[in-house]
Amino acid sequence: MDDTVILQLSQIHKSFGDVKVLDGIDLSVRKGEFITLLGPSGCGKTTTLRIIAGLERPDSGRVFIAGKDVTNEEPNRRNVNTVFQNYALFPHMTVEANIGYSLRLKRVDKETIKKTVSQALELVQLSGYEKRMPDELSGGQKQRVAIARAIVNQPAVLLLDEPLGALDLQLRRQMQVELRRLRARLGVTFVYITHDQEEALNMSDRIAVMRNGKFEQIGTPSDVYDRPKTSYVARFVGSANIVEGTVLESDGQRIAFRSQGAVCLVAARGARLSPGETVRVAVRSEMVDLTPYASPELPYSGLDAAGGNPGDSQVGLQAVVKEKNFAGGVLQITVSLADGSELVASRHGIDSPLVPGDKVRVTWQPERAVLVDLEETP
Amino acid sequence: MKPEALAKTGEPRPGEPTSREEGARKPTKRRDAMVLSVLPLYVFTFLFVIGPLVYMLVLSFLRRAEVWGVTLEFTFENYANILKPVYLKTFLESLKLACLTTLLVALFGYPFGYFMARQNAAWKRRIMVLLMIPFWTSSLVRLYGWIIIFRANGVLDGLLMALNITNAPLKVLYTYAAVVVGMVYALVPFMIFAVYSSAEKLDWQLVEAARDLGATPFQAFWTVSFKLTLPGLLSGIVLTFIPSMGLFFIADILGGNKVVLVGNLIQEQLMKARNWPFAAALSVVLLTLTSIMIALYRKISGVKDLEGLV
Repeated sequence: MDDTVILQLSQIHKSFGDVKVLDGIDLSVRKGEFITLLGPSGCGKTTTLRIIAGLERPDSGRVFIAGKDVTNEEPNRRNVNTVFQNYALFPHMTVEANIGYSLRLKRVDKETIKKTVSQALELVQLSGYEKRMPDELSGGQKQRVAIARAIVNQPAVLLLDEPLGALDLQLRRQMQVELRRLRARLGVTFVYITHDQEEALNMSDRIAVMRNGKFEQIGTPSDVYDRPKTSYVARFVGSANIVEGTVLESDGQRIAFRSQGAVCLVAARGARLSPGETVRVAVRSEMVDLTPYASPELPYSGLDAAGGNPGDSQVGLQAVVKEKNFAGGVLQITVSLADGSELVASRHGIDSPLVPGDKVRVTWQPERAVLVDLEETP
Repeated sequence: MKPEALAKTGEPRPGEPTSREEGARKPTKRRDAMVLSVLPLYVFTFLFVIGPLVYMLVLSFLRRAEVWGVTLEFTFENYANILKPVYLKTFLESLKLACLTTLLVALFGYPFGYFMARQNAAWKRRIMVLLMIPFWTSSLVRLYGWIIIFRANGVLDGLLMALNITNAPLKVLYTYAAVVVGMVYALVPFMIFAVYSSAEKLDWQLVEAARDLGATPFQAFWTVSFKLTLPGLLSGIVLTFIPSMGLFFIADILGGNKVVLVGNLIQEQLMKARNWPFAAALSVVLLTLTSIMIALYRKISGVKDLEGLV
C-alpha cells in the first residue's frame, strides 16, 4: 500500500425524492487499501458504491478516481468494476463469455482473452468451468465468477456490494479468506460493503461506519472497535454497553461520573470535561467485571485518594443478574441496573458462580472504558 | 457410488412389501378419473381442430364437381394449380406484404414494448389500458375508421392540405400503403405484448453490470437487453407474420381489389368461385408455410411456448 489517493469522495449528497440518502460523504481511499463501508441496511452504503461506479449521479459533490474528476463520467468510462450483490451474471453467456465480456468490448484479441480468462478462473479456483452456464453453478461458484469478471479488467478500484451476503456462514468464512488472499495477490484497492461487523473487522484495513447517509467514524478495525467515537459505533461494532452519567470530577487522566446513584470511572484520553456535564461511556461486555454484592464495599473517596467526600457513594453500579446464556463458547451474563436498563458482561468459559437473582456490582478498569458522543472541539 | 444408484438400491427389494404393491389399484382408478376428466378436451380437439384439418386435407386432393361440391376422385391437380404464375404471384405478394408488415410492426412494437416495461407500475397500467381499449370494439369497425381517415378529402388529406404539406388529395385509400398501415395497426399490439412480457422479466442489474464492465449504452443494449428479449421479439414476429398471411379483410376494405393476398384468394375460391378443393389446397399450403415458421422460431429461440400468448 502506498500513500497515493486512488479514490476520493468529497461532499457527496444524494436524495431519492424526499428521502435524503447521502448527506455529505467525504472519503479518501489509498491505493491498495481494503476499506469497508459498514452499516445497517438503508444507511446509504450501496448508494455510495453506485455513485463511485457511476450507476448513480450525486446531487452534489465530486468523485475522483486516480486524481481525475469522474463525477460526470459514464460508468463505462471509469476504471472501477463492481461485484454485484446478486452476482448479475449474464444468464445467456457461458462462464468464459461472462468473464471475457469487458475484454471483448475492448477488442482484445481472442487468444489473449482466452488466456486471461483461464488465469482469472484459476485465481478464483474454478478452472475447467469455462463452458458452464451461470444457472449450472452454485451460489459460491457464481460469486467466484462475478469476482473473476470484475478483476479481469484490472480496475483501479474493485467495488464489492455485500458479495458474501447470500452465502451460508461456512462458505462466507471461506470466501473471506479467499478474498483476502486474492487482494494480497492482486494489490487492487477494495471498497467493500457489508452489514456484518465481524466480516468488516476481519478483512479491512479501514472501516467506515455509516449511519443515515453519513460516516460516524472512519478508522482501522482497532480504532473502531477499541476506541469508538460514538455510542452508535460502539453498539453497532461489537455491541458495547453504553452507560450514561454526570461528571463529578476529573484529574486529567481519569474522569469520575455519577450514574444511577453510583460512581464510575473512565480514562479521560485528553477529554476536558467539567463537573455537571453529561457523559456517555462505552464498555465492551468482555471488559465488564461483576462482583458479588456481599463482597467488601468500595467507598468512593475522590480521584486523589487522600481527599474528597468519603462514604456516601460506591464505585460500581448496582445490578441484579437477569440471565445467563452461552453463545459460541462465550458466557453472557445479562444484568439489570437500578433504572431497569440492561448491561451485558461476557466471559470465555462455560460457567460462573453467579445465578439469576444475585445482586452484583458492575465495575471496569477505567482505561478499558471509552468516552463516546463527545462534542467535537476544534 | 452415485446418489441415484444409492436411491435405486434403497427402493424395493424382493420379498419386502412395497408401497407400490399396496397402492397398485389406486393409480389405475385415478388414471380412469384422469381419462374421464380430459376426455371432453380430446373430443373438442378432435371435433373442432383435427376433424376440420383432416377434412380440409382430404378435400384438397379431390376434384371439383361440375356444378356444385366435389367428386370423390383423387388428384394432385389443385396443388399443381397453385404453381400457376398467377397464384404463385399471389403467394409471393402475400409473403412480401407479410414480411413488410412484420418488419414495420417490429420496428414500432419492439421499442414500444421495451420502454413500456421500463416504466413504473402506474404508467405500465395506464399504457396497458390504452392498448386494450381498441380491442373492445370490432376490428371491422376500427378499419372503417381508417377509411374515414384515408379516403380522398378525408381526415388525412384535410390535415396535410391544411398544413400546406400537400396541395392535392393524396387518395391513400385503396392503395398498397393503406393496406400496410391497416395491417401494422391491427397487429402491432401483439408485438408490443410479446416484447413487453419478455422485457418485463429483464433484470436491469444485468444492464448495469454491462455498463460497469465498459459497455456503452448501445453495447449494453445489444449484448444484454436485446439478447435477453429476443424470445419476445421472435414470438412477436411469429404472432405478426402468421396472421398477416391470412388477414384478407384488411386488404379487402382498405385495398379495394388492388391487393390480392392468399387470404383473399382462399375466400374468393371458397365463397365466389365455389372451388372448395382448390381453396383447401391453398389453405394447406398456407398452413404448411406458417408451421415451418413456428418450427423455425422454436429452433432459433429454443423456447417451446410463444411469449405473450402464455
